[in-house]
Amino acid sequence: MGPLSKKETHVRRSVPTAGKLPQTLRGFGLALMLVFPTVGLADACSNGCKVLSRDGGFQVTARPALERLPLRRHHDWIVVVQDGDGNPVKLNGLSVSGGMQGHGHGLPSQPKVTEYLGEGRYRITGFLFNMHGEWTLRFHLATPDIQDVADLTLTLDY
Amino acid sequence: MVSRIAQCLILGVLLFIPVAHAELPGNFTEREHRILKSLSLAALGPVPPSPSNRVADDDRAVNMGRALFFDKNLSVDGSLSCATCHQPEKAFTDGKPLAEGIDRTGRNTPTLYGAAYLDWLYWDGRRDTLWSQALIPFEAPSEMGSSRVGVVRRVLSDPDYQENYRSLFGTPPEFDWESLPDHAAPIGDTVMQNAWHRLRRGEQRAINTVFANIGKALDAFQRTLAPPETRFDRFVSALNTETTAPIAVLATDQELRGMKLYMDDQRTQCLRCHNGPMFSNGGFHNIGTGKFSGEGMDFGRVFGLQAVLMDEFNCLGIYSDAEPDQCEALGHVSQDPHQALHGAFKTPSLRYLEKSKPYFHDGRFSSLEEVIRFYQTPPDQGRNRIHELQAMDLNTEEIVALVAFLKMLN
Repeated sequence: MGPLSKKETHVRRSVPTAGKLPQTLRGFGLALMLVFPTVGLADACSNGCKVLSRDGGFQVTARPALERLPLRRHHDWIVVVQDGDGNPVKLNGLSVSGGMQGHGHGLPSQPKVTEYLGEGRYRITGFLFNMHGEWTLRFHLATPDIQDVADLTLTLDY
Repeated sequence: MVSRIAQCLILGVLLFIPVAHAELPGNFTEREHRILKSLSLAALGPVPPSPSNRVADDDRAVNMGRALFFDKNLSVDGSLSCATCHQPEKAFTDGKPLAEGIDRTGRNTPTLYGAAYLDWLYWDGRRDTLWSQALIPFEAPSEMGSSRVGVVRRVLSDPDYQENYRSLFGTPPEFDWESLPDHAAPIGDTVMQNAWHRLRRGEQRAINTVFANIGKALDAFQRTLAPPETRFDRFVSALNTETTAPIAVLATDQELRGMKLYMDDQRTQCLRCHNGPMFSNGGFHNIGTGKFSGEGMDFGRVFGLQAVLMDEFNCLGIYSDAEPDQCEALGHVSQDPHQALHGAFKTPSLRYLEKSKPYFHDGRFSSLEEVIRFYQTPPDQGRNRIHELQAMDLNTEEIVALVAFLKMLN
């Protein structure tokens, strides 16, 4: 894709999924996010980043398959797609685009969906990040009835 | 709930602010320390595998590749070898703005240090493996001016090469050298091209196989060219021991100021593209240096992308030893030649700059001060001038400090 224009960009700040953490820990995590709004390369989305699609039809939870998110190295992500009620969705189409708005360039690679793992889970290979800063990943989602996009904003730092 | 968040916020601030701003020897923050470690050669790791080349780590291939690298008889007139442009004493560059072989080429010679770590070769990434890259200069009319038939003929007529070849790749195909032309290649002048197209398909395939194997031996040799340690690497190593004394010996105050500027996103943004142990992210970026008309016209990556996809010697091609899923870079190459690729070039390493000058893809700048002045006043944006740069605003003292830091990488 080309550089994301302001018109087509619909960025939602990603929020790491809280899972079953105790409420106090969730609050503590929120406090940390407010103090350090960027995430370390080592930890970026390691517990999954969850975003809602633009029209609200899908919830997308994405996490790198590696424990540590690397710079300058191809790696896989696991993406879980659910409907608004939290039920897994088997899509007819899923693709990824994105880039760095601040630098006016797209992704340095073209990630590909290579495997459906069941229960709305997909393996996407070929992610590559080659600089720190704010990246947008756009997931294009399609079922026979719905087409939507979900934008995940990811800030990588040392 | 609000009060609980507020409590946690205060707790978070109390717990983490002091850590985030703790100062290490050299007055570096934890973040700066992490960055410095990521830039050190100690973070480089072993040379990555080369799945498209099954002899990549074979000592016999290294020896054969070394001999080929310095062999002038592989050029059309016996005057040039790989080492003519990639001179070991100049960090495997040539010190010229534009490489000069049989004729002057259109690009500056890049260093070979760290080349084995790259996904893409050439300033425009027109090759995706070191062995396929090594084949181009043999046939480029402005470089060594020979042809694949000429190179294969030379290698297989030499008893030493022949023995090396046999031990690495098995018995070479039998050619009727009497009937083959001296030179033939699908690129080059029309005489060479016509000669190539008169060969039978089987002969072309056999020549290509040997030619690719010659590239694989060169790949094996170039993989052994480990980037030399610099004073910066020794500095980071000393920093990790958390002692102040060696740091003061290894870096001046001016160099330390330059180092901090280099890592300062607000002031320089150097680190965005020049990151990692080779001070390059290996990616393609448009900094407004493309030329889209007239002499020296160069579109950069946008044509390099088409070239690597069409290359018969690429990682996915029939001469590659890799399984398709082992070709990670080519298998996931972004094929959308959007505007940013017009005039985009690969980020060069900032190591060994004293030996590898002049700078940029066309060697347009002979000093680091000139390079920094370019970043201070990048080209205007326009219809044909879309680039990623934001102007830097450093004063003279800061420029001197930044240059001093970069010289630690020599």
